Amino acid sequence: MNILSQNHQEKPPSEESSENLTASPEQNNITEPNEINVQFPSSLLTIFYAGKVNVYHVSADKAKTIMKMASRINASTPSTPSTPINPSLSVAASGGRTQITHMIKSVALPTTPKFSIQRFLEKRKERLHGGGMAPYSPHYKTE
Amino acid sequence: MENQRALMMGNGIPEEALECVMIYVNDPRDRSVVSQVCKQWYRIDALTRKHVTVAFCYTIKPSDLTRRFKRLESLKLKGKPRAAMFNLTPEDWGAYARPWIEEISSSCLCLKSLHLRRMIVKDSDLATLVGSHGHMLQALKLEKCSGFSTLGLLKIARSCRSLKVLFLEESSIKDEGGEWLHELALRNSSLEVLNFYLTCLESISTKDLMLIATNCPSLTFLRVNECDILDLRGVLEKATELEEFGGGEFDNIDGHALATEYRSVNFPPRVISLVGLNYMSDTGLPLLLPRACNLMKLDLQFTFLSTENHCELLHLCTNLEVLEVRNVIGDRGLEAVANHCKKLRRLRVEAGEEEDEDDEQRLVSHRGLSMIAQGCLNLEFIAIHVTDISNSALEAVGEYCKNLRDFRLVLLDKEEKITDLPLDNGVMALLLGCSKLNRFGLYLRPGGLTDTGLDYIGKYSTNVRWMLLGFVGESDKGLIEFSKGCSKLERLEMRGCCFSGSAIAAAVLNLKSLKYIWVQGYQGTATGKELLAMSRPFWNIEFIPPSTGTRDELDVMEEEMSGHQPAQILAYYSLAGRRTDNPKSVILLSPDS
Repeated sequence: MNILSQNHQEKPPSEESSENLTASPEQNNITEPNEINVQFPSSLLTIFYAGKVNVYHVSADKAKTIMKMASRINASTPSTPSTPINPSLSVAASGGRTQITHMIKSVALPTTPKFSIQRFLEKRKERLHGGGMAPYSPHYKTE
Repeated sequence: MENQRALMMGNGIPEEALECVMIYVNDPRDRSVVSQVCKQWYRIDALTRKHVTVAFCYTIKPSDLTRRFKRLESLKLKGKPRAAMFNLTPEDWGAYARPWIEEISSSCLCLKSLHLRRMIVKDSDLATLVGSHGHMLQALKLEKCSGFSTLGLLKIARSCRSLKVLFLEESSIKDEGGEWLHELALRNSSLEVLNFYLTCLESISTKDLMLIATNCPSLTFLRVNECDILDLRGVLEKATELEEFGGGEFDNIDGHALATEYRSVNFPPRVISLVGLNYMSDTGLPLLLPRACNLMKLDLQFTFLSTENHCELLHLCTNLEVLEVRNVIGDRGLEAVANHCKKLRRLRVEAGEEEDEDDEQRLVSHRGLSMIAQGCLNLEFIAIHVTDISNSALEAVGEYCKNLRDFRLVLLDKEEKITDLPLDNGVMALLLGCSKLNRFGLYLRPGGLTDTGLDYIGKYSTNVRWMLLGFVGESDKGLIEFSKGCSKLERLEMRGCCFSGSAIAAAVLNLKSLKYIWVQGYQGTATGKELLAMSRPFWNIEFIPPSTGTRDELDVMEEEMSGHQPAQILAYYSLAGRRTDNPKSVILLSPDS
């Protein structure tokens, strides 16, 4: 079960920034049902899975987090062959979106800083970067 | 003779004598035990108990409290779950102060001190309180509360002339003008503590603060919002008895020009605690360096100091007992602490999303934690965010920190590869070594702690009463084994669980002392039906579903990516029945519905 591992190792040379992973067309054609190819152009996240295409609008750091999470799940599974880290992931091996959903569920619970720290960090950004919205951040929230 | 003596012992000690003795029993746990000896002792405890803390406001009815403790002088009430501090609960979740204040108003005739934490308080509630208790209120603490405005504070300022303590830290207060502070300055001369730190109040006049400093000779504790430090120069010169100062802000736009001006700011001579100093960079260091050796408490969480600045400062803080920082302090800074701050009792290292992420020494890891454990043997409290961790660091804590009562570790997501996982052995060594530990928090990632490690926590956390577990364990089996131990666990919080709802319900029934559980993120159904397996008398189960209506998984995923939170469980013992003030987003589960 190699979520993203194919792309991770076989990153084709690209003129774009290191955060952009582009799957080559050849890879798309030989994709097995359980593999996912991920593209990160600017703020769109496109996931090819089991013959379907799903497109999301996410910020670059969220996309990075998904990649990290997937590679972590991928890395940890071989080390515990008898007991899977997350039983629901192995059950979902037969395909469908459940696999991504559980991966995303873990991702959606990052360590949340305390509200007072959050507010300080936002104010710091404003002070150090002259205020205003960060570019390419479609989910910038003012609270 | 012997019969007479036996009769006296049989009848017990005279009540007057009992009352005289019980006054000296202050620890709430001791008082709880005392009240269970016999009916007479229960009655005398009820008459003589001066202070009660209600750890969760929905566990009893306000009238239950006043009926038992008729002569209560001080009350502390806690409302919303701790998760509210991390924005994980809806604002209208509940914890309204009104029913409590109405009851206090009519029945608590001796009350002088009220402390509310994470509750919703309206201006009308403050008016009610002031109407009945204004003349006798000595301490009012509205900590991390919301729902009121400065107009409510104005009523307090006008009527509570005996007020010694006004504590509003981190409350969300609607700013309708600064008149309240002006009235406080004019009418009050007994103020000892004034704290409106981390409130976003803007219409604060430094002239009023000057007036307070002048009129209140007993003012020893002052924490303000983000007034410029230069504007507070006069206040700091006037408030000569000040021991604790917090708040203020530094303007860094023209650093060099201001550095000389900042040098002219003097903290009062007795100041031993400094908190806030928002956005202070190295231009502000000259204010702190001469005072460093006197400081007992230092909070640098909201400063712009670098790792080197931290090292330079902490080198001199030889009397420091409480330190709160962000992880910019780095392992290098923690080394300075370990070498020089030998009296340290409490250490908090928060995560700061530091911009300068390349230098490893500039963040905090197991290296820093090991050095702290070996250097600061008096530590009672450690809360630390690390980017890397090892079993040996936890073993060091277990070996050296024999006074530790509260340990919380968060492993950040920053690094993909961690030196040494899982942490099973380190956790075991820590729990075995720190026998006085009664609070324990462990927030890791998948693979951070196996089911065996979770079992260790169950077996070896003999005195732990509160626990926070995030991303630990591997399967339901691990949770069930864990729940067979933890004999004294009263409050449990869990996040990012791989456990099913049914396993959580089963674990709850196993945990003998459990009174309260909060969970967010677990493998459950959209309705929470499986949680009904833990239904029992006096046990309230509240459920916040992950999303409303019928949605397919992609919609759920999209909502989660945009910041929507997964399902939450809150369950607790209550003698008050199910609450009626829950918002629509909070569902009260019961077998009947």
